[in-house]
Amino acid sequence: MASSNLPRRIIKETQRLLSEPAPGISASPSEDNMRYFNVMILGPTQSPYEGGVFKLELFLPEEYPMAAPKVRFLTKIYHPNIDKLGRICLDILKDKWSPALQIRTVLLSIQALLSAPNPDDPLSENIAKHWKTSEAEAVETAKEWTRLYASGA
Amino acid sequence: MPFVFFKCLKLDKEILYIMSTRALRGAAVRSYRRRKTALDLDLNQAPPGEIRELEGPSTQLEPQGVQAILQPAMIDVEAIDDDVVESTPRAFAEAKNNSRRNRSRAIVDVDLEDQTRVAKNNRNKRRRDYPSQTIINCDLYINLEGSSSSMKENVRKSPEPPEEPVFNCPICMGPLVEEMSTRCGHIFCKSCIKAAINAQGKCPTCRKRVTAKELIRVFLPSTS
Repeated sequence: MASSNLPRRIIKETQRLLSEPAPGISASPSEDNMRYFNVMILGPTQSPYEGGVFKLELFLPEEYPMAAPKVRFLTKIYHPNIDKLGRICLDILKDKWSPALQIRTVLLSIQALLSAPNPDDPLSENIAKHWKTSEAEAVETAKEWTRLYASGA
Repeated sequence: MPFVFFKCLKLDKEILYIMSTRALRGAAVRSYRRRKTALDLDLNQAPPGEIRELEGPSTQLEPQGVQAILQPAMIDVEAIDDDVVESTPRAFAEAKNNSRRNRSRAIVDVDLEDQTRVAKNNRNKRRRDYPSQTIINCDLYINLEGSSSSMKENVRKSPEPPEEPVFNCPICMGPLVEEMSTRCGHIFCKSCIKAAINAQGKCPTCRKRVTAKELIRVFLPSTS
């Protein structure tokens, strides 16, 4: 296992994620790769994703923390900033990454993105268009997808 | 010391007066040695009625202003030694019962001294004339003690040596090594910030543009 040359920071972050998890977020490292995390985020209350349990995968590249973690939704989700492959459009995962950010802050940002979809900076053109033309309808679709794909199974 | 004594009476406002006048008095007594005029002025203003205000626990204290409380304090400067028997038992019990501050015996003793001084002053106003260095020290000590409860906490914990804080680098999350500051004032390990600048050219904390040239080696202070 590669954990012997795992940076101290990753060990520290992992310990803290396990001992003091953020509300509505769980992240645990894979047994065979300490840089690969299985993540679950609960849909925030008063969002179309409320009641859903969303699985994600998070990977810390070799350059981490100088490079951002790679994060992707595994659970299907109807969101203007998340595409059908689960890729996330979030600035701190791209050009706004900073080595002072952490796994925890990234996951909190993703949780916040679920509460505040941003159709003006879309990843899924169709969903964004839907959101902008009839938000109520788009929200209904998002709720339905949550029931269908994220109902905790 | 009146401070603790009055605390028993829950006269917190008066305590503030006392505390400030104590400091004034210390200054006044010291300046007396240099210029007698200042002290003479004070002594002339001692109104007997106001001394009564400090008589004992049963008397309701009225805020009299700085001068009023200053005067009795001036008077009692020296008489610490012989009256302890007179008011010890009651004052001791009272202090013990009513005040959390009095857990330390040393402080209670000083209290008693001061209380007896106050009692005695009503009878022997003449005694005020010679300032005594011992009492000034006593007052200074008490002022420090009474002025903040957190200080009291420190006194209680004093046996354990205080722990030096450890500051961690936001990048490696370990203790800072050869800490350096960006021009925006954010501090990192030397190697961490250099790696971050190579990767991004921005401050990891505030994202301002920074260069390695502008980094300043800083030395964090210790608590001692």
